Amino acid sequence: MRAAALLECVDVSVNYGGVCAVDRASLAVEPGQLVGLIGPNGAGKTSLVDAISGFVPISTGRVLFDGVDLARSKPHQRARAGLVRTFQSLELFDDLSVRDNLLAASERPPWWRLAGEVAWPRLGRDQLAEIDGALESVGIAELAGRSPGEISQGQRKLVAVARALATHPKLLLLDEPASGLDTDESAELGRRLRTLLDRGTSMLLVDHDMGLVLEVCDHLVVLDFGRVIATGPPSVVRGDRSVIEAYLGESLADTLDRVDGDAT
Amino acid sequence: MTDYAFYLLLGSGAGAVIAMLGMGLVLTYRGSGVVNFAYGAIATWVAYVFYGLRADGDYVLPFPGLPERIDGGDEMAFVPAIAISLATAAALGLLVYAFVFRPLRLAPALAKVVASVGVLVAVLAMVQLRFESTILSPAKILPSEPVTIARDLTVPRDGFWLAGIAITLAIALWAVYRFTRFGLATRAAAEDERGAITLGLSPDALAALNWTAAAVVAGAVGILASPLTQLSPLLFTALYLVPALGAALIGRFTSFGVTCAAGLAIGMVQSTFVQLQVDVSWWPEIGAREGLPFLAIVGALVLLGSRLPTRGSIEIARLPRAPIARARAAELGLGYAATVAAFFILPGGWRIALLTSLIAAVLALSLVVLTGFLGQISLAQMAFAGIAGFALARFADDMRIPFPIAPLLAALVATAFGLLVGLPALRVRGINLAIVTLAGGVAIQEFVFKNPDYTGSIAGGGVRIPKPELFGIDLGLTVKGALFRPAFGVMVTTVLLVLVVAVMNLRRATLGRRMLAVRANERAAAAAGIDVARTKLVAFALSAFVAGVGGTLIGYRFGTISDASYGLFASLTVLAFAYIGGIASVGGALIAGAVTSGGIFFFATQEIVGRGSSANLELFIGGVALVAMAVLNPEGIAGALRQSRASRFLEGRPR
Amino acid sequence: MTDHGGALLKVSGLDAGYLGVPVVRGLDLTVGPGEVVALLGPNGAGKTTTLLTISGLLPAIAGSVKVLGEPVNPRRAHRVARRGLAHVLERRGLFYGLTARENLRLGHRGGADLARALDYFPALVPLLDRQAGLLSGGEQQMLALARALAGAPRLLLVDELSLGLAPIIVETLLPLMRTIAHDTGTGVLLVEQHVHQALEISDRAYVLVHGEVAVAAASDELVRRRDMLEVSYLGENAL
Repeated sequence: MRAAALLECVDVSVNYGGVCAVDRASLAVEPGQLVGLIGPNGAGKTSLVDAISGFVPISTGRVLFDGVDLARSKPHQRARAGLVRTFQSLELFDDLSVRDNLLAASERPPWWRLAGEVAWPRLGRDQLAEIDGALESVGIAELAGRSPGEISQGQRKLVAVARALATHPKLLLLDEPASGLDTDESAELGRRLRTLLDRGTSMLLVDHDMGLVLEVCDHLVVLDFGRVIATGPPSVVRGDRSVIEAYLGESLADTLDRVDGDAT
Repeated sequence: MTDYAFYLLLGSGAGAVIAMLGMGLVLTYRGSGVVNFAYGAIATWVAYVFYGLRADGDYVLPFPGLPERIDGGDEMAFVPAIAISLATAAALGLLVYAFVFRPLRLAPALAKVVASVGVLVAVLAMVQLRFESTILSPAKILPSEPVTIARDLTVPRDGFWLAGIAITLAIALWAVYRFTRFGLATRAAAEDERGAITLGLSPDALAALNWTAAAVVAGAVGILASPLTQLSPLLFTALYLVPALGAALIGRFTSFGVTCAAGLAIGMVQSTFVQLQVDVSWWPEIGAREGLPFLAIVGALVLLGSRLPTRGSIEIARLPRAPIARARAAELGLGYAATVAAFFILPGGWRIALLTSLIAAVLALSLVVLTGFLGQISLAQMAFAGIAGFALARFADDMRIPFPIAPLLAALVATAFGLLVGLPALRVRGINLAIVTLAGGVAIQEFVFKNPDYTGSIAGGGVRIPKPELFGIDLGLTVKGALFRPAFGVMVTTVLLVLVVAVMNLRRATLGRRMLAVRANERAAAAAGIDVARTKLVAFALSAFVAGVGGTLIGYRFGTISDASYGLFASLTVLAFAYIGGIASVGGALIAGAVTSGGIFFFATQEIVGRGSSANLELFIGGVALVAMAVLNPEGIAGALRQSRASRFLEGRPR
Repeated sequence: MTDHGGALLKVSGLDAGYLGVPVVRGLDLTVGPGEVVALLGPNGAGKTTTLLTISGLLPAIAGSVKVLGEPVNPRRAHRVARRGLAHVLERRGLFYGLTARENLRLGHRGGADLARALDYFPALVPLLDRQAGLLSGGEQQMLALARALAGAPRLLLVDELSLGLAPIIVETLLPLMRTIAHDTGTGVLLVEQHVHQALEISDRAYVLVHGEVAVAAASDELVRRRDMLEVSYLGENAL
């Protein structure tokens, strides 16, 4: 029997004023899985992530998370339910230190503590330990006190991931976490993602870096012109020459052939 | 029914003024992406110039330091006067664009709103400085003989003339934008600035031309509309700007035709309220007129979902930084002690100036929460203060509720109004929200403050506020012959200290972090699990509470209050000085208090330099300083101090 | 073909990026008259940033950009366009609220022949009075190109011509770049994700990786020597 999916999209469509960005796409992420969502520029990957996280309305279909239909949940409610995303563009809270960025996302004090803090602001030791843990898990514990303006592009990407982790997500949606990273940083990010997976965080990864995606994902979903055109484990999708030639461009298909050839 | 037809037709004049100002706002926005809150002030200035020329031939210059006026001999004929006045309008529009909004092209919406408020404050202050008698009743320019439309229906015809001019203007603007290369280019640049540049179009030049054209329209409106009512400095801003913004919003800041129609409709419907008051027993006697544009604006923004069309321009500048205040308890204690001591040592005039500064600092703190932390603008802070002031009169005078409880309750009433005005903030933000708060502030002022039921008769000088008293100690400012009592100063200083500590703590608390997260990026905040709507409401409530406390202090200080104590203009100057001080930090709010008009800085300058300053000159300086701050240093004085400290620190250390 | 003395575009030592953070570093690049040059590289390599800096829409951090022999002043970016540079932006930069004809009219500059620009795109002629926003993706891209040609440019920058277009449309539009360069002597600088097709129609190509030129060579040489490309796209450890 198939394990119950953590996230399930069924026939999801997204329309922007007549333009169909996502066309009846279906995909599922099972617990403990790292699923890659790939496709050429403009294929509708970010639109689908926006639809899953509640930032754009869907025109057909359903999004189920943990067995619950998300139709009526707002983005912050989805985040609190454990469905947390990062953004393609860097969207850190610029006026907050790295630690405060994580705190803003993780803390959920009761209202009387919110009010009490105005008289006496304080942070619990366990709260800080938790933040440091999230930073540690992506390897940037030393940046806690810095401001987002002072750190490198790659480090900012990692802060965004750490901020998402600080909310204890059940499923992490990563929208192009490797864009703007150099090759080494990207490979390092891949290793971090595998570690997170081992600790029980499921993920849906959108990225252009084919090296990263092929390396780390358990399962791939290929999107083009808003439609899912292939799914399967990386070895199968990668081997599907017609799919790759048609949708990733001919020369890259050749390239991948060569990579396969060298590997065997 | 004839009565209503009469009032509808009578309102065509006011409607035409609203329509033309609305179209001018659309023109400015389409040309440059700026919602010009100073638009009414441009009309005002040109109107005063024109009627000055007509009265005694003197041309008045608006620059301090230069000769105030050029003597033109005798009263000037109509045609040269109008030519000179419209040329003045064109020059004013061009200057404001070149020196204020061109440098702000890439700045965030907040900086643009603030800069236009600065222009507004400066121009209105200059009107008061340059023209001795500011209330004029100009002679009619347009033919105004009565015209009989039907039996029993005779109205003056100048309204029709104005409406005709407005409709002609709408058609002309529509045609220019539809058919000429200039119009196409402006539409193109508004949609995608980069695309326009790649075709060799200069968005800058287009913006300058549109600004000039819009200013000429404002000038013409100023001249033609002044005879409808009395000309006063705030006429076009208080009476016409808000409905004009409403009309422009209904036209989605895009359509001249819709804006024109909406403007005419608002003016005509407003006019029928005179008759409604007679016919409908529950119709409010006061304030319905101003309520209509407020409802139109909220309706257009919240219900129709119409927004300012986003402009395809490149916005890179950031909001002012909101640093964590590093003040230690010892520093705060020292400041508190020094201020309290000052109230015992300094002579009377100084004490009053100090009080003005401390109360202004409280009001500025309310904006630190809302604008500094949450990133939203309110042009209605004084309205919240006023609500608390009048509520205090009710609680303390009528109900005899004792001192610390009555003002706290009053501030809570202001909090409720803050939530009410904050509700639209769940749907709208940025400039749109500034428009809502401006309209809301005007509506509160007209509907509540001018209503004698709530605020006492103007003849009686307003309502009385009893002196504060705690544990038998009289904390009043004046007690039978004893003026400027230090006890009152101690009370105000203590209140400010409590609020300063609270706002500093807020910055370090969960709520503050959430506000700054929302300010940085609403999408990312929501994605991080932050309830953006609730965070905004809390910020509005806290901000209105602090403003309310400020309002009660104003009440206690003066002893009696009227609608004039909490005017629209005061709301704008609060924002102006808060921004000058530094909108995003507690230190900025304290500096804002110090440099406020009538505060300790100007008083000290006067004492040292000698007499010669006036409230209006201070406001003018404030307005210009505000523009300069917005253009050169959005972080305010506090930010500049921080930077110089930081750079000294860095230079002192080898890297 | 590579007459550097008469280069239409000469970029030397260029650092380009946002808010002082360079995305592109130390770039040298030239485009001569009648030449088609492809700027290739994986996503995020800095191709679009390079084009924006060349047309003055983004101030350069360091180095120089000369278009038709004159330096580009980002404060007066529209003058570069008037001098003869046309830039088809990544998302086409069309004015969607205006009709196709109005878009063309804004692109039209003295001396240029509107009819000739349309000759390349006969499919547009019946659509001229339609709003640009209502055209299909392919038609919009044609309109963007026609609008650029309506100004009779001497240097044409095209960013991601194929973005969001079906392969069949790309196959007709890309070779047009070659034809235009040949007919008019216009220099073309092309950013393209379809590497193979871009190499087929270009004279030379630069491959940007992480903001630096990894390979610069004649296009036919790159077609022969694929290994050079693959290293750039997949990284050395992928091989």
